[in-house]
This record gives sequence, structure tokens and C-alpha cells, in this order.
Amino acid sequence: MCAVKDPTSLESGCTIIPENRWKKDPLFSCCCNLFIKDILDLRPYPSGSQECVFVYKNHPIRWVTTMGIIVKAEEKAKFHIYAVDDGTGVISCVCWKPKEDFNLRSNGEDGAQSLIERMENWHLEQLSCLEIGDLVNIRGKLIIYREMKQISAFSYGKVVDPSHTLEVRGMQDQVLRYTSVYDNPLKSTEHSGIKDQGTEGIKSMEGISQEVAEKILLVSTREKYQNFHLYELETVPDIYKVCCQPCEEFINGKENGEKSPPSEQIALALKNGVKHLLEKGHIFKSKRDRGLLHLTTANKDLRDVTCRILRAECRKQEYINGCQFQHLYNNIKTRTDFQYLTHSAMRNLLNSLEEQGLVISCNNYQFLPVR
Amino acid sequence: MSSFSSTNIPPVAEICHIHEDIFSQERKHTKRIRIIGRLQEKDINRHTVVLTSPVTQPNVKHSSVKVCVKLIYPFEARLGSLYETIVEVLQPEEDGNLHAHTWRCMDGLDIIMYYKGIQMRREYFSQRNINQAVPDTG
Repeated sequence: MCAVKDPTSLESGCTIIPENRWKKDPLFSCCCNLFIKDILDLRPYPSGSQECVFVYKNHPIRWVTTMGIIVKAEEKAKFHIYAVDDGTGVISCVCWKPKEDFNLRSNGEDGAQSLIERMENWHLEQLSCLEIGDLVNIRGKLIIYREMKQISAFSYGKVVDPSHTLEVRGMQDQVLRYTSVYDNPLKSTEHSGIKDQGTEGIKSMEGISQEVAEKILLVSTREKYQNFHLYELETVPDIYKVCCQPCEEFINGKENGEKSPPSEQIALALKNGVKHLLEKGHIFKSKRDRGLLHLTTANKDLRDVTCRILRAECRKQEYINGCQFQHLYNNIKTRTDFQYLTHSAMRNLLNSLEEQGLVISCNNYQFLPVR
Repeated sequence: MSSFSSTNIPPVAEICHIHEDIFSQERKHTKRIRIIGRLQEKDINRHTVVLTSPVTQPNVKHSSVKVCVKLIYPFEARLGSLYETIVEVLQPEEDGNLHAHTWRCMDGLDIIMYYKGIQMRREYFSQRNINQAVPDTG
């Protein structure tokens, strides 16, 4: 014989989201269209201090919306209470009557009702028209009153739909929302790669690679390197230190008591870091020596060739107002040494030359040499 | 503020089809059901109506139900129209033992899409029960 687990409880494998991260979950800030059966089974969020925040899978839920038939109605002085049935459960909803605000009433013409008065009367008529058997749509905050869950509505109304499309589509869309949103637990790891609380300081490979890329640039500029090989980077202490940071993809390998990170982690971090720099154009590959990487802005040959080509081309009639970027790029790429130069590297170089006062950029991405 | 106590909130009305066996063993503990049907007959003196299934099903034993509408006021019904009602089921079976508590006209409803919506819901719940069933360790 099998017992059925409560689907609304926190399942094993679903991490509890700390209270300061609840706002990252979109379900916390919207009205969730849960079945009334599930709403009644919701339990308070384990890690929360707020009273009326409940858990479904590991989503924090505070506002709900439901469409159902009124099966019981009661009127009090300031509110109505309706018991709403959606076919899976029955929940009571407290619907507050609108307050009469006499300041809104304008002194209109004698005998004529103002527009505000007519709207208020119409709204009150609509509210009093909710009867047993009516299909209503209620949105509100989920609260616990006398150990029973109820919805304190901030929006409610009768569903007037002659073709009943809203009701039918609502049933189908609700199931789709469950399968695509509600039943998928929220993952707690952030995009930056830093885990929260018990595992602080552990970064993802992506995060470490970006730090390695920044460190390579910093060291190269400081030490005035013009080019380097990939394996030489491992010998630089600052770069090696960044590669050795705890990485979540390789953390399991350290369970055997190893203190130093695996060599695969260091190699992967350096390779990804160099890849970032290539994509951004800070370095480019050499044609003659495949493993050699040149720094774009520090390469004197590239700078000299670019200025020479620019001066030669700008003497021609068609480029008298400036040489286009693509034309300049194609010319430089004909040189054997710079065949692997990328667009982004070329842009970085021209920006650097402009900062040094050797080149002026004009309209339409054209460049002129400073004579 | 106030609310209904747990004793006077009506039980949930499970959505059923007329052609399903309402008095089967599976629904032994069901006290209320919600059904949708086409009004075929009405007897004003005895306050009873006969609802038939809006979709014809081949080889189906139950295609109509008799419902007592004494509790519905005002009772307005047109023969041939589609109506949805929440009825109370009393055991054992007697003549007119389904008592209607709500009565709603559903003319204009796309019945095929409505059945599809109910079917989707049932499949979702059965799948959820399969996924969450855990074996007893005892």
C-alpha cells in the first residue's frame, strides 16, 4: 500500500529560499492561480518571519487568485463572506464593501446625480448581485483566521461571459501554469556563480574565468608584455592564485582530502579566460606561431602598419574624407602576421590610437591619420 | 472579521459527467457533485427536472439524471438549454434523490473544450498522484 506525499510541502531536493531572496521569485509578487485544494494544504514558509507567506514546492506564496462558484454567502456590516468552490476545494473569501467617501461627492446641479455617485451606486448594485450559484473571480491575500485559511480579497467580481470562454480557458491555462511554472522549484544558485550561506566563496567556472581574463590584462599592462603563451600564464603567481579559487564544478574532487585544486581546473580557467579576451579583442592569435597570443594595443608592428596603411589610403581621392573601418581591416588582414586579427581587436586598436592622438574618427565609422 | 467555521463550509463539489456512474464505489464518499446537462423534461408540480448528457456516448448506461430543484428560487429553465448544477448526492438511490443547490445556464458553452479542460485537470491530478506516491516502509 502506498501513501501519497503532500504536493505542497517542501520536497527533498528543493532548497529553502532565504527571506531576503523571496523577491527574486516572480510568484512572490503575483497572484498565483492555484487549485483551492492546494491553497488549503499550503503550510507557512519554513525560513520566513512573515505570517502569511506559504510554501508551494519551494515558492513563497502570499497572493492567490481563484475562479469558482459561490456555494454559500453571508453579508455583514462591512464585508461579504463567500464560500467559493472550484471543483477541487471550497475556501471562504472575505470581500470588503467599498467605503463611502463623502469628499468625492461633488456639488453638482440640483437634482442631478454626479458621475461619482452613479458609479458608486452601480458598484454597490454589482456587489449585492453576487448570489449563490454565480461564477466569480477573486484575487486576494491568503490569511489564516481562527486556524482556517481564507482569502482577503482586494479584487472580486462576477464573471460575465456569455460564451463561457474565460471559464474553459481558465481551466486549461491553470493546468499549464502548474506544469510549466508552479511545479518547477526555484533554484537557489545565482547567476554570478556565488552560492548562498553555507557555501560562501565557491564560484562557478564562468565567474573564475572572467576574473582570470581581467587579471591577465592587468598583469600584461603592468609588466608591459607584448605577447605570451598560454602555458606561461600558469607561472605568474597572481594569475595562478585566481585560478586556484574553489570552483563548484570541481569541488567534489576535494572530498578525498586534497588541498590543491585539480590541474584540470587551472587549465580550464586559463583556457576560458584567454577565450574571453579573444572575443573582446584584447588579444589576437599569431599566424606564424600558433600558440603565441599578442596583446592588441601593445603590439608595435600592428600599430605602425595601421598608421602606414591609413596614411597611404587617405591620400587617394575616394578616401580623402576618411578611410572606412572595413576597408582598413581588409587591408591589414592581407598582411601575413595579422591574418587572425578579429573585428573587435581592430576596434580596440583604433580606440587606443585615437586616445594616443594618432588617429581621428569621423562620421560613418571612418578614420583619418593625424599628420 | 469573521469566517465560516469548518462545520458549516459546504463540502467540495467534484466535477462529474452525467454518463459516469455517480453512485459507483469510487464515489461512495462523495456528497456533492457538479454536473452539466441539457434540460429534457421538467415537472413543475414535483419540482423535478431530467438532465441528459450533452454529448452522446455510445454504449453508455447512464445518459440522464433526475434532479430535484425545490431549493432553487427563482427557478427559470428552458427545455433544450444547457445547465450546470451542483447537486447533493444521497445514498441509497431513490427517485429524485439528487437535490440541486445551484443552477446556472450554460448556453453558448463549447462543450468539447469544457470536457477537454476537465480531462486535462484529471490527467494532471492522476499524474501528480503517481509521481508523489511513496512506498510504505512498514
